[in-house]
Amino acid sequence: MANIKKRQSKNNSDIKALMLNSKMYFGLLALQLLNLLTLVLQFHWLYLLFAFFVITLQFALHVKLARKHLKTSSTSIADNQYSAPKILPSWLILILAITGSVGIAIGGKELGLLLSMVHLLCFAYSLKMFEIPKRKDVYQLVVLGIFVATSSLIFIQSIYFSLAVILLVFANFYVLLNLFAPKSAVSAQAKLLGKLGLYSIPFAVVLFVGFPKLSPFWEVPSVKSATVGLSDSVKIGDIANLALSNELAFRVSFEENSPKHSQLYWRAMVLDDFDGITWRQDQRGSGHGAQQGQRGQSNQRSQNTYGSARLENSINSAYVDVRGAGVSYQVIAEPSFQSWLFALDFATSEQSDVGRRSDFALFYRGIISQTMSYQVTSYPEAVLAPRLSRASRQLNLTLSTQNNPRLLAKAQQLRQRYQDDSAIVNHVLAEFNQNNYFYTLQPPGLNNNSLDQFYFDTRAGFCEHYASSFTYLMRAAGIPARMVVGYLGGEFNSSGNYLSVYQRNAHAWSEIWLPDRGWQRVDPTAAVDPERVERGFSSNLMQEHSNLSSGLFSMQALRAMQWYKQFKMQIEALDYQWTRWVIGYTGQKQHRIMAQILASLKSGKQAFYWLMSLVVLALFVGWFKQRKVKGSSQHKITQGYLNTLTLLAQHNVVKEKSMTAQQFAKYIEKNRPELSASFSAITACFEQFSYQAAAQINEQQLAEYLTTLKLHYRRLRWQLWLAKLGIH
Amino acid sequence: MLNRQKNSVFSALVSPIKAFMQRRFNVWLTRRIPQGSEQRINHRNIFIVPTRFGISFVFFILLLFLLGTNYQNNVIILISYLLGSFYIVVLNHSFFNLSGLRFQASNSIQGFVDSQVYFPIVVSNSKTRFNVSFSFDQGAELTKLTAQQTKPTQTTIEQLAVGESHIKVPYLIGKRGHYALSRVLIRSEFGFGLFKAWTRLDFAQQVTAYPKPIAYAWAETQQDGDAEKIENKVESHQDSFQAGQDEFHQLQHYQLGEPYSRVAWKQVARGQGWLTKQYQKVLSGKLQLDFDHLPSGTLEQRLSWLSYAIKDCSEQQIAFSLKLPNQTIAYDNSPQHTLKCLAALARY
Repeated sequence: MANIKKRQSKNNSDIKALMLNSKMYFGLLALQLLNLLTLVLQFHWLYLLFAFFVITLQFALHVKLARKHLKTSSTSIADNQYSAPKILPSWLILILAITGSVGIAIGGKELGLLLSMVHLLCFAYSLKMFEIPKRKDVYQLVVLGIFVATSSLIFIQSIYFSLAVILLVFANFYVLLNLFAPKSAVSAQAKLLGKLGLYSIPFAVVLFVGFPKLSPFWEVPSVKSATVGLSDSVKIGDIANLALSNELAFRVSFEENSPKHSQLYWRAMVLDDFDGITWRQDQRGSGHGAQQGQRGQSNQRSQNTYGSARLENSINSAYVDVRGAGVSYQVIAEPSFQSWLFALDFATSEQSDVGRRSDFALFYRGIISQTMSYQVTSYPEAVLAPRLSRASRQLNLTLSTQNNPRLLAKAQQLRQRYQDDSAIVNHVLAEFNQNNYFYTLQPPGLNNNSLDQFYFDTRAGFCEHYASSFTYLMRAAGIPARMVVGYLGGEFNSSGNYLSVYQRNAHAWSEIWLPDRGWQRVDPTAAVDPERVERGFSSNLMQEHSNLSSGLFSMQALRAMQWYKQFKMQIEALDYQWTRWVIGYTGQKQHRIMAQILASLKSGKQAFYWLMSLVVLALFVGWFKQRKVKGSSQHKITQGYLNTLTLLAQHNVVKEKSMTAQQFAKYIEKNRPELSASFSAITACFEQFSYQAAAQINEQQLAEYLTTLKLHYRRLRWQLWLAKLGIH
Repeated sequence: MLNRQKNSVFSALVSPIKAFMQRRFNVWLTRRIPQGSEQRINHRNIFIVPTRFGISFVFFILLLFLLGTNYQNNVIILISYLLGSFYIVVLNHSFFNLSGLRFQASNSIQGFVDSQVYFPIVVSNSKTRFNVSFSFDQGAELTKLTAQQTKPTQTTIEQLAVGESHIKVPYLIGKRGHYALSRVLIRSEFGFGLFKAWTRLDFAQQVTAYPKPIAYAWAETQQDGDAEKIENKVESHQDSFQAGQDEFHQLQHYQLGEPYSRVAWKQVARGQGWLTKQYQKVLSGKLQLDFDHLPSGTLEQRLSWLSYAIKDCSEQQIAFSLKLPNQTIAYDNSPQHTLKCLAALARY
């Protein structure tokens, strides 16, 4: 009973509705709009409609209310306070909440777990705006807002977006500031907020650099999206399509000089299963352990496959003869929602979340759903698989269908003509070079993806045409061969000193196995269009590319301008540094940097000790000075008297400021006679000292005073203690 | 039933501990912040604790950190660090919002029990402060009183301008007497409601709480509601116990020790006319309010009646003298005299 009553009375005191000024309401609304805008790309259109409706409704209502109040009270906006109106009755809000949650639950399958959760969060945020009767609700609203804004970073992490979100997070605090200082001007509030925000940067940076990066505590629903970039099955024409995209695929910074353009073959995956139309990754036999790229695998399953992939690595590494100097670089891959990683041959990475498949391609143990950075060391001179296993040889000679009879016949003819494998290769490449083959982004269509038709009739194609038919020829001629897809080259950004590789750099080439030399890269494109390999797109190709990829609003004119190029390069360089140092700041990197800092500290030990001792000295001097100011400006006798007063005050005998020392002594004599003997002695000492000219007292006398004072102080303290304990 | 019993056992266990802690805290506070009519607050006497929102905000930051870590998303982790460091900056900021304020209070306060009075404080500051609230730390008595009254218990200054400002802090007088004024609680949640910065200052001032003025109970039952008449009756009754009137001296002797029963009896016997008769007689003499001649009742009741009489006399500008068992205050009708008499009641 008593409890209930208490609660009721508590409620009563709380019921006083929170009054806010209209500045506050508009601030809340604007911030809600901005917070939700950060996630706008992820929202389902239904929710978008709902949120828009809610905000407009609230806005219209508050405009009306603010006007009304302005008219009646005719004061400034900051003064006119009113409690939040009840726009919707609470039962309606409840119904809305329930229907909304049910709707999200139903749509959950379509949206995926993460997006459903985001929707639920934002839905709650939208509804919360209807009910702000108490200060507590404003707090909740602000925290929700910050959470909504922050969660948008799961999806996008570019520098400008991130900075905007960080600003927005701080802007959310404006509401709280306004809650406590409603009358100060917006500019002053913004200034204060900015100041506090700036102050909090240094410590945050220290934490970011120094606080250990932890691995994920548990599995979280990942971002789901359509895959971007190369896919694990390539048909004729796929790469030509991909090459129209100007999207960024990944960026690389080399620790030393970057290799030549023609050496930049970024292996993404190896396709060794050809059914006559499509190149796929092998699903059977020895390669089965490396299927982790398949999406939608259960966690358990992928665990297993990672395990076997690792196992294979250890076996297969025996087949690699590592030679020559390594090239170290860092790759920052953009989210592709697949698992392929990109690296030069022969790539090794010490990162635990990066694995290597038996075909020497690197993969990420999971789905790359956000920007990911990894460190690689490549050995370009390494010999890949000097010996080939029987199964592997079998696999790379398979010609599953016979729908390209003319190529098959040509291969057999070549085999008869040349004994030497490399002679066959050279012959085919020479033919590509000399026989009027064209390298183009717009190849003529082929019936049923027939390689025969391309090779013998149309003779115009993009890299996958050449690589595909070359590989087919080789297999038909009995040379183990396979197709490799990845990227070629990249664009060097001189202001950021890094290489950007775009989707338009997508490329396909062949790999053949020669005894003792292992897997050899053969790029038929080099025979057709050497410029593509040496420098990138030729001007013809560029022209084609721009014609095909430009939409309605061509930026061609702008793109051609020098200053725009420069400007863009600067911006991209900035974004790259952000990606590299903030987004790509992994635990490994942190480890390295901390070690560097420690090492530099050690090398500069002397200087460090000096600095430390200086700081300690400065602190000590500062402390001593402060003490001096406090204490020693007075003589020891005065100090003793003051100490006595403090002692008395602790025992509830307080000297009023207006009392003189004499008066206080009398007061004590009257009220606490037992103390008066000691205290009057102390007072006498003090008065003797302070009211006699300093010259008249000699040292000896002073010392005498001091000893009496100390003696009586001790006595007084003893008496006070006795009194406190009740002994007189 | 069981629940209630449990409750009582629990409270019986807890309340002494609580009281003990409170006492220890107060002792500590006296040592930490000694009293004085002029005080300046700084790092020695400002305390900062996170509010409930502040505590939940820490959990929110942890949540963000978890989110960032689980998604291996450095930007979210960075934001959680930024918020964490912002939290610490705000801690300092809320300290500086109070630090350096000077207070001066040199007036003691007086008033009747259960009434609300204002304690004036002069605040001087060198920069603008926000959202500083002042209240008295009245603890249990306050909650008891606020349940009945809806008067404000604190003054909140939204924006404290530079310079001197005069602030009145509401104080509910709880019990009669002359005692030290409790500490003034000065607090601010400015910043963002994350922290509560507070200090309790003892301005070494006194409260003189006069007994609560209460009209005679028997007079009220007799004359239901008519205020003016009641007043008259009260006065007349007091007057009836004046010394110096010969007839009454004898009566007094006769009725010694039981004045109330005598009056009640007479009332029943004579009806309403008796009182007015006495009143007319008294007007000629000097009015003396005598504690000993009051009807029987508890000490507090008697004092309350006297308090009512003094208040009433002062309002009607009737001169009177006061006689308490331990002191006598001479005949006068100045306001100072009234205050003196009331103070005597308070101290008694």
